[in-house]
Amino acid sequence: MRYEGAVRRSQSINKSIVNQIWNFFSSVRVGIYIILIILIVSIMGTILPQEHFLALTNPKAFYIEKYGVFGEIFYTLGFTRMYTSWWYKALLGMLLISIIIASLDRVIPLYRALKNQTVRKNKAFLMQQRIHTQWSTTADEIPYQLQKLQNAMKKRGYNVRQDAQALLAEKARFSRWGPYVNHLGLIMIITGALLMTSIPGWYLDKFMWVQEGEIKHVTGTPYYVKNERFTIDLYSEAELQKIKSENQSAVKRYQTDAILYEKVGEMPNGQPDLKQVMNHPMTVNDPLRYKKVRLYQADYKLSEWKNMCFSIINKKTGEKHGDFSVDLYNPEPSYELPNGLTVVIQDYFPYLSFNEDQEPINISSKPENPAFIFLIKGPEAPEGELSWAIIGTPLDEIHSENVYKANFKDLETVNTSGIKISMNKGMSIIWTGAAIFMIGIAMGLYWQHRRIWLCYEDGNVIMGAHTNKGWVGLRKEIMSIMKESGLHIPDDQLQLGGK
Amino acid sequence: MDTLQLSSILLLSAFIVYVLSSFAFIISITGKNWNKNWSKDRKSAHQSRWGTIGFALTLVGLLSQIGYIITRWLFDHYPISNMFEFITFLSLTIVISFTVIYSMYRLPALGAFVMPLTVIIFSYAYIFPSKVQTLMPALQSHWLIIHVSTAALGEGLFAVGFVAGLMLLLRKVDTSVTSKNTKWLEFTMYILLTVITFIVSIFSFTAAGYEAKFTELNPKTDEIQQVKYVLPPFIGPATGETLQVDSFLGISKPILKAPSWMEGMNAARKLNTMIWSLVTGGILYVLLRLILRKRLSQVASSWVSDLDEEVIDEISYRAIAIGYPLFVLGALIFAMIWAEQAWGRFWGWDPKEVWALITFLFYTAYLHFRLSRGWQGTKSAWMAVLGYLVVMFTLVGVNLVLSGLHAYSGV
Ligand code: HEM
Repeated sequence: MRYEGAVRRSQSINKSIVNQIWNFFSSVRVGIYIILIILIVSIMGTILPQEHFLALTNPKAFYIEKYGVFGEIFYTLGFTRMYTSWWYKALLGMLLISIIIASLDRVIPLYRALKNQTVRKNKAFLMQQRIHTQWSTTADEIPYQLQKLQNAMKKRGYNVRQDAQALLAEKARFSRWGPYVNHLGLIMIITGALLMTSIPGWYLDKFMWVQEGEIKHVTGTPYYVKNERFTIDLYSEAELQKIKSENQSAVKRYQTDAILYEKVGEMPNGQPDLKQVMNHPMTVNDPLRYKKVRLYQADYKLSEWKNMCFSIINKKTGEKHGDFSVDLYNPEPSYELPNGLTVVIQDYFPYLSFNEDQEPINISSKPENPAFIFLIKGPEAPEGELSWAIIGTPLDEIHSENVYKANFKDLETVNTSGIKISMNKGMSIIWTGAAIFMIGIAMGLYWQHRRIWLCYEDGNVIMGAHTNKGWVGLRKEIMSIMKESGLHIPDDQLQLGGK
Repeated sequence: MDTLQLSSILLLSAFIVYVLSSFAFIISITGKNWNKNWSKDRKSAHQSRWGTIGFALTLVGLLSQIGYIITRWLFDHYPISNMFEFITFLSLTIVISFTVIYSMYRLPALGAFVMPLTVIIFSYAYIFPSKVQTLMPALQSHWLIIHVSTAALGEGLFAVGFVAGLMLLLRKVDTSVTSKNTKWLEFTMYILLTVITFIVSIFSFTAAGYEAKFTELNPKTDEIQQVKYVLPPFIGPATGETLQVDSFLGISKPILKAPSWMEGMNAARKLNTMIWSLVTGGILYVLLRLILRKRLSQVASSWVSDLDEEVIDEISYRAIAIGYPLFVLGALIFAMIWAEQAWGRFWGWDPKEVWALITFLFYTAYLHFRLSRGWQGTKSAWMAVLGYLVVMFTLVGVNLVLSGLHAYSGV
């Protein structure tokens, strides 16, 4: 019944290679095996955490150390990068081919068969149907009976055709297209997902730290992003009290006030000429969206050192000569102070440490232990004096000759937002595919294609009915059609499985 | 009384009414055999009267639980943001699904199996803290409500599909002879018993104030932390010391230590809970077999002996067919929309996401077996049973065993 006896390509006996491949992939059994293989492989991938969640420098060592021999095998088989591996993609590709071929193999024959249905079927065919019955009547009665049945069927949404003394009532034929519609949607989803990372310029997935006040280029795009301010809001006392919570540190909101600029040209000094295109307070569920680009509030760092403030003091007189502030990420070469004083930055160690010979070295560009060597020039020291400045370390002994001294005054901190940038031009294919897929499965699973055949032969009316699912419902419907038409059929004559 | 108290009362009433409706349905299908002299009509009158009572109670409980959702929503938020709220919601979706399917097929026996399952899942929720909690920023989205509600509704229908599948197996398999099918059915019964003993144990020991405390090294922070067991410790933590163990049947210290590769906070406690449940479930199983002198599936199959196989088969299939699109929409499509909005990627191969995909693939295989390979009856019923195991693992197991972004807290 399924394909109405229509011949499909896969059933032809031509045994060329193309046909054999076609036959292989059009088989539902093969399709199910592919689905089950993907299912089992996917389960295996969840046994240990995938690499991309762990940000490891030496993944192999990690898996061996943590999970022993099993971890080593797991890693060596490539299961730690399973879902992006070529063979996982190949499995999805096979699923894709199988869906395409199986659908093509069936949809056209099915279309033809459903279009060319005859109203009159022979008696044997009707008696073979899972739901069937018959009753005797006279040739005079039959037109009235058929008319009444037709009316009752039409009332229930059936499309009825009559051919002499035979009826074909049909309902929700479109639901037969459900599988093909949903497979089409699925084809779009899988294609979109496989393509999106392969086509250059379609896909972008980056993460960057942007300090408050900083403007940064989003690599791979004409955009620049500025972090105006990062804030964390906690739940208020009143809100906590209402739900009797004692968790004082419960976070309500992470927010970055971001501005997006687009580069429109270049300024004479070589700097990019930026035009503001968007201004949006990003929170966790509310990204900044501009054209295809999305910026997400993804992470943060609080109160990192940003500017260090010093004052210059004349050690002999105690006189203050003014302050200057050094940007720890981007120090100026020198600072001019009042009274003819100049401070030159001779050397800067964002992260000061000492090597084996007790020589000062820098070990990181992050200013977490900043130290300076200043050259301070002034009226009383025109040649300049070298002066170390290391936080929290009194260095008066080594500078005992000096006139001037740089006193640490203040530290300004700044918050940093972790911003995730993503762009995915394949998304619209995937969303469209998802919508089509949903429509298809709803068509196929929420409606049923029901058909009822009737024919009059030798004093008997024979009825047979078929549906692609939901036999109990069809049976009930037929009972009520019969009742409404004034025909009484004993319950047990309209057997559900009546063969 | 404030809205929060009202909502807790409504929830508890729903629970109690579900228990009563379970009994009504069970009386409906077992009671007809109480009196051998009853005529066929008398039996079916009994059955439909108690079936109607059961269904009416189900509806009362359903209304009460919807009342709980609304009042708790009015008070603070739509209750699906922690394990307690989610599991109670899951039981709600099972009841809704049952209501839909029952109005289509009017089969009291279905209630006699679905409603007890609802009660079990519902009581599992009470293991978790029922306090209202603050919503972390990632959960502050309408998509949380839309995604979880739709997915849970699909899962509720899968639960009905599972129950009907189990009923079909009990009906079709000859449980008086030993066969592969009877063995697996007994195993299914045993698993259900372990779930019950697990829940009952936790409640009993908590009520009795039992406690066992250990120190354990938290591998994430490298700090020594305290772990509290609610159940007597067969298995102690791999590292750390015993602080205090209340004596239970002479067990005053762990019998074994967890194997050393089982690090991770609470891994030993989870293993202990699992072993405890398997053992006590086993004891209960043996006791029941000794008392009944029959296979448990034999007893259960006597409840369904007069049902029409084709009807139960269709119920199982219909429930899954209705649930499938809802599950896809909620657990995959809405989930993708939300993930795109909250995390900047629509799909990230997080364990929970992978397991949602696995559930989807499993039921897809089920539909194809059925549609195109003509699988009906026992084979497809076993798939409906196994499918619900996959669903439960995705919902609960992933949180307990695997870790990821989605983890609610676990016991
Ligand atoms: C993940 C992958 C797949 C999904 C989600 C999917 C989904 C579906 C659904 C939901 C139906 C039934 C709808 C209804 O009952 O109305 C269906 C039917 C069908 N599917 Fe698939 N499918 C997948 C893969 C495949 C593959 C690989 C094949 C073949 C090799 C295949 C062949 C078929 C066939 C032949 C039907 C029945 C068509 C008919 O009744 O005329 N599907 N599919």
